[in-house]
Amino acid sequence: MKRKAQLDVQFNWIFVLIAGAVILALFFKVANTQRQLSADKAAIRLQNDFDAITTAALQSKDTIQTVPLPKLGLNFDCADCSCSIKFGRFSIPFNDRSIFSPYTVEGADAKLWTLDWKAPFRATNFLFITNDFVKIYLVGNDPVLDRIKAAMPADVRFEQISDVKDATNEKYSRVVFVTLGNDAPAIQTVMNSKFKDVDVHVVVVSASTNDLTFYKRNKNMIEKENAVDDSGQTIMTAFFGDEMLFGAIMAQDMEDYSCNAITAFKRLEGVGRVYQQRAVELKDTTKNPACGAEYTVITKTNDLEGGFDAANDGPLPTIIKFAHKTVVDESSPDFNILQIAADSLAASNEKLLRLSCPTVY
Amino acid sequence: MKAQIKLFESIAVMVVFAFLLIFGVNFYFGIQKTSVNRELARASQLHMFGLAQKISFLPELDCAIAGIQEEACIDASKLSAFASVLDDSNPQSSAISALYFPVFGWSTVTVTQIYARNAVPPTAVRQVTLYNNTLPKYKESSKMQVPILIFNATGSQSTEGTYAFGYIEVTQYAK
Repeated sequence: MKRKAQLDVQFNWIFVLIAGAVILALFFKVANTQRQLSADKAAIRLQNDFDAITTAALQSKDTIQTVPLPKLGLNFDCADCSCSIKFGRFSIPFNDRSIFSPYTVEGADAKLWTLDWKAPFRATNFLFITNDFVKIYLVGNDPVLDRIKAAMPADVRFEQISDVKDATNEKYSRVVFVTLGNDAPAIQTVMNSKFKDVDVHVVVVSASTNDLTFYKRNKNMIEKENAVDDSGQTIMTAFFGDEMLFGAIMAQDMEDYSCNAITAFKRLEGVGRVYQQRAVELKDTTKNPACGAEYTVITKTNDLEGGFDAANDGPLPTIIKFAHKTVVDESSPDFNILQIAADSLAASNEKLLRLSCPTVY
Repeated sequence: MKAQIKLFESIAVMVVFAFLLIFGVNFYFGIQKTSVNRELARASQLHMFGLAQKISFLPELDCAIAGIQEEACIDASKLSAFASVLDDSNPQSSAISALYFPVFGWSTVTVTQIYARNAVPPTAVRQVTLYNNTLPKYKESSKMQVPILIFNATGSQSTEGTYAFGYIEVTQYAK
């Protein structure tokens, strides 16, 4: 009888332990699920807000606005040119947006600066994201750097210095150096000695060839970025227009810049094709022979889907083919071709305006 | 015997308690999931509104005279050219549609003109399907209409330089 009572007591304790464990596990699950749901809800809300902010910002030109940042900051990712902004488990893909930003933007707020990119018609708007933790040094005295300085909004932290040795480590989390020509080795030396603990991004501009060379931190050293990807493909490192140059300055690195520039060229191809179709329709319907002649000059081509044909292609097909080649090859063709075609199209458009004909763009 | 009854009583209480707990937890999570789904639906609505807004600012469609852009206005001749470029009869349409997938995604975009003073009759409806990319086996679709002005940059003497009233309709598909 005594033995049975002992078993009863033991069984009761086991029962209490199991039931307690089940109840405890349930509470843990509830708390955990609640935490996950709250995080998801906050992430979705942030995602909505940021999507709306970037969409609205991209519809305005040459504006800068300050937006408050979430506690976790903004985190970007551009793996294999599939760029997105991450919010917890959720992310917003860039899609057709060209957003040039460091991969991590932390702090109380961020500056969102927009510029429209033209070649010569507006193809897309660029969005640049920076904040007070990023400092841009323009190294040297050159008309290109003076132009960058003049166009840089006052809200962006930048300074023009004549020598890279004048740069001081003011404990910014990211420092960008923009320079021309051959002072890259000097910058490397200064970076490796003065800016050991800082995220460094160096852009060397070659104004004559519209080409860019990028340097970034690799462990403790600042090293030149290889303009060839893992598959041996050359990466697009050229720029067209000052807006794209600003993109190179504001981007995380060479790959980030290249991906966003390729997105812009996709938009250029699309817009160009619509304008080509419109110009052909205007040519076919106009009753003014002078207008018709100008539309013919602008749109002439033997085959819009063929290769470059300088002798037979008008400026608009040249721009479309150039953009297509840049997108397909993801490399840097001779940007002088695009400059000449853009100048020629701009001149024709002016002429159409003077002739009181509907303009192409 | 008495102890056995007591044990069964305890088990019964625990079972009832567990049932109540599971019911409560399910009910609570149900409400939480509904609120997350509501946020997702709001996100989808906002995205669609953003898309409709973006369309009127696309350089392919915007009313820009000498580089000056008008708000909430699309150019009729650009609209017709854009629709032709994306039309299925165009041999390059699939390649060009691929260029526009990042812009429009899984959606159908139509532009409808509902009133033009110089049209006969002025209320004659003209509809242009700009982009049509329906998500295969979609489960949900939502629509949004945004009013716009349609500018006639070209046309006959009576219609050139005039504005018509219309709307952009965006239908977005989701699984």
